[in-house]
Amino acid sequence: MNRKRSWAQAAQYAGGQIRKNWGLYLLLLPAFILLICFSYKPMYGVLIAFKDYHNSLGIVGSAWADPWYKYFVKFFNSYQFWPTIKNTLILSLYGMAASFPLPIILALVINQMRAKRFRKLFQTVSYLPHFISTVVMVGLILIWLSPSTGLFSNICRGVGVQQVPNLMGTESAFSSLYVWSDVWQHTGWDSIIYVAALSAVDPSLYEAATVDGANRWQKMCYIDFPMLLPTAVILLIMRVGSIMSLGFEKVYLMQNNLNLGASEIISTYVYKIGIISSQYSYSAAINLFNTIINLILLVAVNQISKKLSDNSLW
Amino acid sequence: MKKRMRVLGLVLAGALCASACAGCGSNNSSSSAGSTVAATNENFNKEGLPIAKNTITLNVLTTRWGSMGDTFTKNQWLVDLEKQTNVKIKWQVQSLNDWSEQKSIMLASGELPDIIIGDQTFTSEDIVNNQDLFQPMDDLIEQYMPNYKKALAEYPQIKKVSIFPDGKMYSLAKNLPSRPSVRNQPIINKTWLDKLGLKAPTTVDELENVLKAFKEKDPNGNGKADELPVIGTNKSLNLNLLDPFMEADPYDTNFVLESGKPVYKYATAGYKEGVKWLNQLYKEGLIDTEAFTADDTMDTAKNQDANTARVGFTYAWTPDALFGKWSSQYEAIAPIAGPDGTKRAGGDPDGYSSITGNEVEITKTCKHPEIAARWVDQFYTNEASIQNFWGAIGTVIKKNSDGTYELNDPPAGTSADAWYWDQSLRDFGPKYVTKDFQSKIKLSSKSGDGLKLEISKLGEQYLQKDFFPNNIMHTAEEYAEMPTLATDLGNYANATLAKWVTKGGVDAEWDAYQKKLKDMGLDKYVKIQSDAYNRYLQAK
Repeated sequence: MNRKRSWAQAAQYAGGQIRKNWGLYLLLLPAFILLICFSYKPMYGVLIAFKDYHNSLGIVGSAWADPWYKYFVKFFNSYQFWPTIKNTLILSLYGMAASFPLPIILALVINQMRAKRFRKLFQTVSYLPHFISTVVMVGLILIWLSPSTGLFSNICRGVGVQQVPNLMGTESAFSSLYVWSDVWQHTGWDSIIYVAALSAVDPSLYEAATVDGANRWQKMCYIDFPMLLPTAVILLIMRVGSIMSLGFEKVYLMQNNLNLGASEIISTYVYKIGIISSQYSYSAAINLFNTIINLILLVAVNQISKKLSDNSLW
Repeated sequence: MKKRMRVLGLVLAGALCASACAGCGSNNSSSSAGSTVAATNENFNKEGLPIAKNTITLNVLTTRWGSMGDTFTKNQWLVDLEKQTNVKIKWQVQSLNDWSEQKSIMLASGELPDIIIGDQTFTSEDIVNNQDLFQPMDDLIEQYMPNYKKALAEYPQIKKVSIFPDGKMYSLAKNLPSRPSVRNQPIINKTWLDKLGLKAPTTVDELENVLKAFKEKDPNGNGKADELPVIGTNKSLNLNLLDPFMEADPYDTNFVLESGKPVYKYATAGYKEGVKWLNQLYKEGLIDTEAFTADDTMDTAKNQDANTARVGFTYAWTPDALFGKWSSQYEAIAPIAGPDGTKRAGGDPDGYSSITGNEVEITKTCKHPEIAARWVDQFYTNEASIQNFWGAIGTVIKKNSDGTYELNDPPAGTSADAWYWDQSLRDFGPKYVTKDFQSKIKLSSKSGDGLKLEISKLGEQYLQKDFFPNNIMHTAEEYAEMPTLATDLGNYANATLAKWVTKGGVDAEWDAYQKKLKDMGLDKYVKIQSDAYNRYLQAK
């Protein structure tokens, strides 16, 4: 391939390729159109972060903010700047540390189960909680942790603790409650993809290992785990892609005035400022800033992984 | 490979530009139609009925709570109005559940119906920020709206809530009949009081003793210490609990008046004392430990516990909605006196929430503003108002031969309130009832509106006449600053309140708290509100 081809040549080349493989491009078309309509077209809306957005003037008609980065500066100087960023990072990093390795471990365990029926049952039970909706889930958390009548307080009293703490009202407990309830809800589901990856392992590898005298633990370490690694790295990079866009609903629903110090994250703040108090430009600026941090993290992790393991998204 | 990706990127970028331009086109094309008041209109009668010589159709938009539907448009009064005026109405009824998103789209498109009804539909902020979409009403009122003109002259309050910062009226206000003057009142479990041989508390100290007795002496008689003297309301405490300590803020503006000046409610000396008292109640176990964490459904489960009444004291509009089958145990009492011996009640001497602005707007889209104005004016008579508040005469209202009015009983299986919402515009929409007409309306004192009027009398003499009004107008510049300030300060104040009530520390942290409020922009917030309040006072 000639590396110094002009644009015209490139277009010609691309055109030729498309004509040759038109069937494949036709298959791509619906996805491409959806992507344009729902991912690229709305993007021009981020313009309002740089404008004094005015409903009746529309996005393009509104005047540019003066200076154009006015709303970003407003956020940098805001009292909410450090707390919301800190809380967002704590929740997402903690969440990733807890919920990334567990599905892998679970998949390895499931893979070791011999009795097929028990294995099916175990898998089904472990991913059922995934289907509980967020609202119901938070309702369950509130009821279980209620210090007067909840499951948790009854267990505490059962083992002799009289002063049961109100966990929902404890700032330091918020991130753990959030993360571990998520782990409980999704680990089973997240393990499915690893179980699938493990089922693709060539049985002759196990046979060879058996002949060499490897025990179960050694098989896990030297066959299963390396087979999972590429999948795991790709999934990890994809998770970093959404690290700053934490699920807004769950945090918002779990929030109360006693845990606000730990539970005010960027997306809940944007909701309060943007939707409830209709400060569209300001909240768009905050959200855009959030996305930029996220993009930087994503590129960084991708590069690191490329260097270390030859696995990367691009 | 890399080259091909670049081509793809180019195509995407092109598509992006194209769609952006498509967006700008659609936004600009909708310039505001309709000039100001049309000079002459062949089809229009300046006086008398019908308003239009040949039938004309107007689009009217209104909002309602939840999924209440549009049965109210079949109200006999509205049906008759259509015949008398030759103005046919195409109703567009939106649920308030998803209105906030719909609203943005509608305002952005610039295509509005002819007439907008209801104070929840567009707020002052929406009107100020989109002023060119709304018709200034001053000339229309002067020329074509004799009923509303009379209302403006009789009730200066009505004028005050409808003058925008540029001195013009872009919306009309309303005055509802038979509204109570006191908002929320102390409600206590009378059955428990009687059982323990206690009197209804009159001071905070007496209240504390009563609550202690509720906690310790098992007034519901089930042998368990499951009584909750005070509970929360949806992850916070009912701020009316601070009534004995501080000036009233009946409309939840977060501001109170101290010697005529607006002050941030959460930074007053009374607030500090009140929070200290709440902390003491919490330490004694008189406030439910879940007050700041339980959500609405958990609160309802306590208020309406299936087995026995469990809650002792609260502040509310009337007991019946709150306590379900136990509501007969509860009774409203007179306001509790604070440490300084003052009893205070929050509300409005003109009738709590009877006067609100932004009830009707006529848009620039409307091609016949003079016809719209005369149509709206028909609503501003006494008889029209009560029929649009409860239901038509003949179905809901009974007109007696002595000139008084009574309400019929609702059909079996329907509550009075649900029936009124079904039959009328109810709380929303144009209405004006004069003071002397109010006395002609006879309500049953057993339920609904009549019951509230009855218990409101307990607090009337303690009503605070100095309070920060709702419906005060801000300029577009003020609206650009205020929401962020209000959100940030409110968040901090509420989080600190929760901490102080449950863990204490008001005295030690008060100065630092005040300083942080100032750092967060309290002075700016107070200045915005003071300016707006001064403009409100000067409005004539």
